[in-house]
Parts: sequence; C-alpha cells; structure tokens
Amino acid sequence: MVHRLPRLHLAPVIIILLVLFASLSLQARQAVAQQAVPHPTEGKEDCLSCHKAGGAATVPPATHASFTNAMCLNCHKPAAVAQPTQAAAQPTQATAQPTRPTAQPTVTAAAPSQPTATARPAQPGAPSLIPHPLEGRSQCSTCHGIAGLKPYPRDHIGRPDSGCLQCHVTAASPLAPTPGAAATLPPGNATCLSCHRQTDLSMTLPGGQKLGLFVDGEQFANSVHGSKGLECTACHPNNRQYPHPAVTAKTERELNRGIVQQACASCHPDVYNQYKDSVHGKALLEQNNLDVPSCTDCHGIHNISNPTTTLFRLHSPDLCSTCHADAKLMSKYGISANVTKTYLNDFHGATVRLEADAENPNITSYKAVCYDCHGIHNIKMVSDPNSSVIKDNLVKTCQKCHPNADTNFPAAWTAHYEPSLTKWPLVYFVNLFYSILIPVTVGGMIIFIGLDIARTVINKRASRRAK
Amino acid sequence: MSVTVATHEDETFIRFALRQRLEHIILLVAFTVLAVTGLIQKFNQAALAEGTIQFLGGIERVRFIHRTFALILAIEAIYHGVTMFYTFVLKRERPTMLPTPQDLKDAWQMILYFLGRRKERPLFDRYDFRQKFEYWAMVWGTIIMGLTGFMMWFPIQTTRILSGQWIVAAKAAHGAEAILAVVSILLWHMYGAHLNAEVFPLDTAIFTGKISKERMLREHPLEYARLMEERARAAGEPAPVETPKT
Repeated sequence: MVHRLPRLHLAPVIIILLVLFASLSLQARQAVAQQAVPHPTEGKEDCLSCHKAGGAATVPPATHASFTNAMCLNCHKPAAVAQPTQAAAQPTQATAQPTRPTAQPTVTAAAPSQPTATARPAQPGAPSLIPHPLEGRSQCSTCHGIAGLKPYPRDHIGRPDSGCLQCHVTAASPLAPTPGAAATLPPGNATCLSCHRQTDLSMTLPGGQKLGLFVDGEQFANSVHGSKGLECTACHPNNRQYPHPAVTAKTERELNRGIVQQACASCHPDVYNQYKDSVHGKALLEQNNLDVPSCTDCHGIHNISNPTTTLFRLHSPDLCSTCHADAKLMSKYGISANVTKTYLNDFHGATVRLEADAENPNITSYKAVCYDCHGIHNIKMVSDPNSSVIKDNLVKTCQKCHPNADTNFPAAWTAHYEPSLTKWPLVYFVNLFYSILIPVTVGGMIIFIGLDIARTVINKRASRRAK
Repeated sequence: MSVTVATHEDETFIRFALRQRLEHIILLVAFTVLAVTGLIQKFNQAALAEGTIQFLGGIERVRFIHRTFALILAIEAIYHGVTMFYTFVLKRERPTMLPTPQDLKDAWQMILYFLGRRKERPLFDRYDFRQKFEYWAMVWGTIIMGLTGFMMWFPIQTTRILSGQWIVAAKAAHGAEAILAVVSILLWHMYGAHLNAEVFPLDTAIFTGKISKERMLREHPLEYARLMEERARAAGEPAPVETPKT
C-alpha cells in the first residue's frame, strides 16, 4: 500500500492540472483565433502524419511540440464549421483569421465529421488520387516503396502502409475532389490563406508578367479593412469558386484596374465618383492609360492604412513623388519632374519632410502637402479652369489655411518654378546680387588676411636674421 | 611730453563702457544661436542639419528658438540705435565709428605695407578701418536679416503692401546674407579679435573694457595722442609737443 498512496495523492493533482490545461486552452482559443482546417477531417485522424516537420502540410508551431493527435480538433475546426462563441467573444479581434460573422448565410453548424460541400474542388498541392481499386492491395509499399515500381516521394520514407489512406483516396471516394468542378469554397479568410499564405505562390498573367499571389494574412488583419473583419471575397468576389476563374487581364496594372472599378467603387462610391472625373481617373477609365494611379497605388492593397492619420498626411508627398519625380515618366506628358524638389525647398515642403522623418505619431501638423492644394481624389489638370491651383482659384485655396491672405499672397510661393528672368525675377536678381557680393567680399577678406599673415612671417624672419 | 600728463607704462585705458560690453555679449549669444538655428534650416536636407533639428526637438521648436533670439537681437539693435542717436545726435559727441576718406587711405597704405612698399603701418584712431568695416557690415547685415526675417515671419501682412515675390526674394536674401554674415564673422572677426598676431589668442578689451597703454600706442596712437592733449588741456598746460609720428 505504500506504493499506491502517492498515486492516490496524485489523482487530484492530475485532475487539477487537466482542468487548468482545459481552461488555459480555452483561454488560448479565445485569445488567438486558430488556424482553421482547410480540408475535411473524416478519415484523417492522424493529423501529425502530415502536419510535422518535413511533412506534406503546415508544420505546427513550436508551442505544439507536446500535443497529440487527439488534441488537434479541440482547437482547430474545419473551415466551414461556424464557431459562434468565438465570433461573439472576439468580434473585432485583429488576427490572421478574422472571426466570421455568425449571420453568414452559407455557414451551417455542421458536425466536424460531415463534409461541408458536395462538389469538392481539388486544392492545389493536395495529395494525389489513387487511380486503381484497393481490393487486395493493402500493402501499398510493395509497389510504392522507395524501391518499388511507382515509388512515393522521398519525404514519405518511413511512413507505415496503414497511414496511406489517411491522405490518399480513390477517385471513386466521396472524399475525392470532383473532377473539373468549380465548387464554392467554404467562407472565411482562412480558406483563402490556406493557399495564399505560401510566399512563393504565383501565376503568369496572359501578358507574360509574373504575378505574386502571396497574401500576408497578418498584414491584412492589421489593415483598415482586415481589422474590421472584411472577407477576402469582399474585394475578390469571383474567387469564391475554386478553381478560380481564369484571369484575362494582361498585366498586373490592368488586373488591378478591374478590381478597383469593381471592389473599391462598390463600398466607396463617393470617392470613386470624384476619382472618375479627376485627371488621373479620366486617363485610366476613359483613355485606358495605365500610367496613372488608381486607388491601390496610393492606399496600398492588402496593407491599406488609415489615410486620416497625421503620419499618412506627412508621408503623402512620397506617394505623389513616386510618379511626379520620375523624369522619364513625366516627360511623356510634358510635366516638370522638379515639383518635389521645389516643394521640399520651400517652407511647407521642408516642414513636412522634417516632421515626417521625425516619425512622431503624436505630432499635430497642418502644413500643406500636395493634396491640400491640388486636391485628393478630385485632382484636376493645373490648366483646367476648375483646378484648385489655377491662378483664378489659387487665393481661395491659400485661404483654406491662411484666411486673411489677399491676392498678392499666392505669389509668395513660386508655384514649383525655379526663379528666372521671367518667373519671379526679383528672386533671380537677389540671387544674382549675392552670387557676386559673397565671393567678392569673402575673396577680398581672404586676400587681405593672407597678405597680413605673409607680412608678419616676413618681418619675423627678418628680425631673427638681424639678431 | 610734459611731466604732469605722462603716463605709467602699465596704465590701462577704458576702451568700452559696461553697457557696450553687455551689448557685445548679447550680440555674441544671439548671433551664434541665430546662425546655428538658421543654417540648419537653410541646409535641412543635409544629414547633419536634419540630425541637429530632430535633436533640438523638431523643426517647429527650431523655428521658435530662432524667432525668440531674432526678437532679442532686434530689441538690442533698436536699443543700440537709440543710444547712438542720443550720443552722436543729441550729445554731439565725436563720431569715432563713421567711415571717413582717411579709412580708404589707411586701407591702401596697409596693403602697401603688407606688400613691402611702405616701411610703417598707418596710424589709427579709436577704430581702425577693419573695425569700422566689421561694424558697418554688422549694421547692414542686421537690417537686411531683420527686414527679410520679419517679412517671412509675417507673409500675410507683408503681401498687403508688397507683391508675393518679395517674400520669396526675402527668403533668398535672408539665406544668402546669412552665409555672408557667418563666413565674414568666421574670417574677419576671428582675424581681428583672435588670430591676429597683435591680440592672439583673444582681444580681451571687449570683455574687460580695458586696453593697455602699450596696445594704445601700437594700435590706436592717434586716439592716445588725443587723450593726452585732453589731459594736458584739463591740467591747464600746453598741448604736448611730442605727437606720435605719422
């Protein structure tokens, strides 16, 4: 009995530990939304045979090192299974997998063991199908062993025959993907990210351009859209189906324009309508000019940040400069590429640049950036009679910040011109005056001082010689 | 030289009143602060300048410091103008700082002396032509910097009177004049008040207010002679026969 006593004493300790572990894992589940299982789980109970270092699927994080197969489904649910409690507890949690609204119409609270879609699309990189019947062929390794007729990949070495059917099914199996069928994917960004999290995922556009398809889930979750729980399919509605519809756009910019017209415009129609009539929007939408910026060129794509912050404002001249300081691009349109330089040399530009470099999010800055004068989504060509910077309208634009300014005031800024005999001549003459006065004065001083030093040295030598 | 007005070899003379010495210190501090906070704004795209701006707490802080010391210098300049008006217009004292044709002659003779075409340096009064040049350069610079600075500080008010390009011209002039002022101080003031063989390493007169008899005789012999004359007259004696040779 001496040996059994400690075991009896251990029992409550084990129970307490188990309860602790359960509550901790529950807490963890609420704090971090788990990676959903992007595939059905039936017949695949041995999760760790694929989900392991060097395995065919996602490697569990280091914190999972001690976990067993029995634990996986405690936290990880198949993507199509709604988790209402989690969604209710953490509605705005910014994580890699934003919680899904419970009202999603296509979501049904199905048991994890039931398939969620009848037509199943083939996932890229999914295990290959078994092209033959299984009767009398239980020893897979006889043919598929590394020395066999059709050897399995090298990373399968050491896997027992009993494990093959956990991943590989026959074409006749209800679990097999439906050939050629485009199926509706289970909702949720986790579904999309289960493929698009691969950093090397890419495709070749019809124009020959390579398009990266990687999406940084964490970056999106922190973006202005991701943090509000927006689904990938809100902007990519066609990609609810898998296989995704073929891309017809020849280049990334062309593809982008299509998405912008469709996706951005549907939620931001006011901004889109302003943009449509702007110099950039007209060129893009009416003249099919792909040099001009669309929404994503200034706001980003999956990393869109809040454009009303001071730091966005302070860094905004960099956005304009991407194109407007590009001499080659600007020469196509006869526009000066010195606009950034002249802006930065002036009071507003110098202040904005220095405050942007300070990277202080608490700074309050109201110095004019490009869009304060030229407009934001409604930018007009500077020669357009409705332009906010054309001479007739310029005082009004200045008065937005300098309410007491009168008609003389706008010329206190050289309108991106370098002063010359014809433009801002007074400035040109001041510069000319000092370009003569400074060298003459300084040169005169240096000559005079030089002569004095020379005389002092000569006199000293002479007096030394006299001694 | 008669006995009564003779001076001891170690006698010192008062060169600057306390008021003038204090003005110099105000000018020294204000000029230095304005030069540093101004040049880092002019060259803000250089790494060192930008680093200094951010170190001082950002561009708005630098502008605040610059404008504060600009006000201090402006007040000092006005004070100086008022005292000069009082001294030379109302009290009608002898204006020792006014440039005269003699200064041009002195400068020419000095250059001839440097070139070995003349045996002796020219003899100077209370202020030699180099000191007058620096003083009037300072006056010119302060007026230009003050006017253009306030034009930039108050562009709305300025453009009620002048066209907009005056503001841009003011900025150009302020920046160029700053370069001229700083380079001039570094060259001319260093030469005149520090590195000159006569005073190296530092002409202390502007801080102590005193100058030795030896230096008076060497650097300001005409002023020394005048002082002796005045002493003799005050003592009721005839003017000293012996004047420093010119």
